[in-house]
Amino acid sequence: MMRPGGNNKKRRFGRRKVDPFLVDKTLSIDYKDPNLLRRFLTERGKIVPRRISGLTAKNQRKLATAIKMARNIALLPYTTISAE
Amino acid sequence: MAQNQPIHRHYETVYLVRAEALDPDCEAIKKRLTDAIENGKGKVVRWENWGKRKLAYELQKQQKANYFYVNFVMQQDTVSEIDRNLRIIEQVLQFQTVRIAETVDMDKFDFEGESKKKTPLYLTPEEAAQREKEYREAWGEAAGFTDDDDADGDDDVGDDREVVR
Repeated sequence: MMRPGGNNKKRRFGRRKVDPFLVDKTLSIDYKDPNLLRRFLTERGKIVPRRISGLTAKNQRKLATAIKMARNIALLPYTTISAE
Repeated sequence: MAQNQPIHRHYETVYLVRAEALDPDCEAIKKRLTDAIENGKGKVVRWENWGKRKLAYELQKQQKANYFYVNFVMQQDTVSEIDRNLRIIEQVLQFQTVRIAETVDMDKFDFEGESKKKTPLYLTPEEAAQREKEYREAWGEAAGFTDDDDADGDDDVGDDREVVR
């Protein structure tokens, strides 16, 4: 794959290959757990894509729903740009 | 099953009360909701007070709010009463009611067990630390996610393919 500058050794984003919710069955995706959900948000408050989060499709869907519910009750931000 | 038997469902509600609200106000709201639940042939399973938390974004110019959580079983056609009540109370900034279970058999429902459960935000610091430890074990090292919006954001799709195998 050629790229101008030929910088093929690009910095990699933190990428997981395993779904932590499969590894640890006691962990559940819960909208009432903002500290857990925050791990799946970028600094700007966007939901991390599955390609990076490493979740199964099913869990990623559950996660997205949970994050949106948490946003409703101000446990998680919709975005953090507006602040300053 | 008797046909006229109303369906009971399991619900939970999180509601946010203004930070400056006093304890008697909070108690009054709690009382009002309890009455509403009981009038609807329901039963409270448990209450939780998550305390004063910083909001993730401003709500009605407020930066902080008191979080309350109630878990209850109620007839499916009267739940809107809860939302209606919360909407009327001015001290309440925001609320959300969620259905946990479709149908509940009042005779078989494990009130005892359910009332002992705790949501993650209601754990004591020690319990929370323990939980945090468990997370880390499941996760291994914490991977830092980066926002895709930065300049080289579009590069990582190609990069992914190269690294996979």
